[in-house]
Amino acid sequence: MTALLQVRGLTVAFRTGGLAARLMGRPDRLEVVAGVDFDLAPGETMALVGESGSGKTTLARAVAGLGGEVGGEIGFAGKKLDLRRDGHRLRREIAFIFQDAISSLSPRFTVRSLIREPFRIHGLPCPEGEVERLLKLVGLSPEIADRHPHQLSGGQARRVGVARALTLKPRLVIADEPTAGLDVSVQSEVLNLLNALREELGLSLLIITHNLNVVRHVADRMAIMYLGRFVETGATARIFAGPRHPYTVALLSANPIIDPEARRARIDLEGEVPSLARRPQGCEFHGRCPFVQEDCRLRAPDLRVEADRGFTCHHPLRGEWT
Amino acid sequence: MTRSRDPVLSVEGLSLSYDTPNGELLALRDVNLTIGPGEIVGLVGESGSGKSSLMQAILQLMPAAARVTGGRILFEGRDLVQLGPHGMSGLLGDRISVVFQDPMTSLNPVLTIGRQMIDIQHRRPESRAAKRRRAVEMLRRVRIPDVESRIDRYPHEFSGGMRQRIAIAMALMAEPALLVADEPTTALDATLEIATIKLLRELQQEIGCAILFITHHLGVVAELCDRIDIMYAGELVESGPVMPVFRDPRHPYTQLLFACDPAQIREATRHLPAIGGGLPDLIDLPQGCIFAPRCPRADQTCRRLHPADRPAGRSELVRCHYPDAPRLEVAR
Repeated sequence: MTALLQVRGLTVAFRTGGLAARLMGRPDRLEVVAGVDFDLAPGETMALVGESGSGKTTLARAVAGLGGEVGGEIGFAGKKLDLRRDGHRLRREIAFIFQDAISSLSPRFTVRSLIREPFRIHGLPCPEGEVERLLKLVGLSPEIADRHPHQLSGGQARRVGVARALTLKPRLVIADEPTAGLDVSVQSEVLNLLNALREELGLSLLIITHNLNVVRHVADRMAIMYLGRFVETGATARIFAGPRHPYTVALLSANPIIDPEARRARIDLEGEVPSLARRPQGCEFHGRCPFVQEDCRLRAPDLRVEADRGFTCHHPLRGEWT
Repeated sequence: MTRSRDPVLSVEGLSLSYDTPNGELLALRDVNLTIGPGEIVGLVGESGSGKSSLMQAILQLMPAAARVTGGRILFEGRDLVQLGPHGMSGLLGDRISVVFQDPMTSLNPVLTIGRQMIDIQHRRPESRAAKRRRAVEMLRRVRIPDVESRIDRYPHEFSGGMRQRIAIAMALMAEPALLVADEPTTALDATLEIATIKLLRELQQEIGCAILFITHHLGVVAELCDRIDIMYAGELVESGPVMPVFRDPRHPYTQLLFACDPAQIREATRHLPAIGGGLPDLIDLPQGCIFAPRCPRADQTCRRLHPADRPAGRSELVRCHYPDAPRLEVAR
């Protein structure tokens, strides 16, 4: 199957400081995403996992044509994309569900006008009954159409965000922390909805999350990010069964779970995530890695590909931490 | 765990309402909760369950529209409801300390960490130098690196994880009998969350204080707490020792909540279970059991009569008419 989305050597940088910083010799741009490659097939779900500041949201926003100085190549449906030229068209094919559902909805609009807005922006007619159809699709009653965002619960606002993302029949939906701040009982409903829509409409999903319990159930593949790079990618089930990168192990084992028998051997990380302005030499994880060796400090590891997975580590783990 | 010793805190039949333009909102109804000396109690509930209202009542930091309409909160022999916000100021930061979700709630952004940690010891008759030594010692215990060089810095110069550890250090400086922790790890990344939980447990064992840990993360409760208390729509519906309750929950809400937690489902599945329905209107309460409208087991009795608290299995309190009925499964 050909990929719907092809990302090659993607970098995203932001300008920082300005003149004063430059005069003082500080870097005036920060590379938040530093060279990322991946493919996403039609109907596939991929999860981007990582801690705050790992660049997962920035990466996803860049794919949707939102913000940052973007370098590298993005191919969509077989064509190379120029974000500047194709941005407007791209937004019809790639929809974004924002992390903070309520504040991503304009407080002065009703749900009806919020759902009609994408049609207006793209100069398309909104078919009769479309708002009601979309609300029904995401499991909301049509009466909600006349409410304002502040009259919605967190789960309802999230569903309106999903309905809005689906208005123009996109082929790729990017969801930034679709369940953050939702209660467990509501969280399942939103995830089931995204999955049902993926099956029904053949959407590809790119889900950004730090919730590993969710990733395990919804994603075909996952990528673990650290300092703006993928440190490990592969099929979700295989990564959970046998992580190769020490950071993946640390992340998976930092997930508090109830069942004492299901708990993993834990790797505690020392120190904090280094600053993007001062990336460590050698392997960027070496300062916090419990298995660090001499060559890790000197040489950055290349991406190693084994079967359908990749990882960047000189001394990958071999199933001893499952 | 035996519960024979006098509790540090006991909430007895507490009811609390908010005056709203639409009427009286019954936020807490007949809540019973006890915390023994040195116990770590996890208070769990989804949004709107009343766990924050309960915390505010215990700390007497309630909004103006809130009114305690019944019951008492006994702490070391005193009723905190009678004591009120003014009487409470003698206890807060001394016998009772708090850690909030956002550490900047308790840290002053314009004072250095050192200054704040010295100020908080104002009740001690010691020299400033001695207080500073205690502050350094406490910061070391919460694993702040290079304490001597960092103690004179401001809160914004620390990372989020370090700020929360500083807030914990400040809360424990007074060696309180009770630490109230309101979602202290929710805003932290997974690896920091685990480190913070480990740290809390170690410090609790050294200091011996009781902890009321408010969270919605069941995994954190399992790894940190001795007991679990589950709230739903303003009522405390189940209470008991942590592992037995996780293994054999008796209230239907607890059973369904556990079943919906994606972390609890071992086999990967695309269709996650959900409870269905929503919270009842707390201004116009349904008659009978508060969970009856969403409970698959509810019958006429449940819809008519409000259930009493009773023990069942290893749970000491279950607010359900049928706590011995077979465990509920959720439809996938």
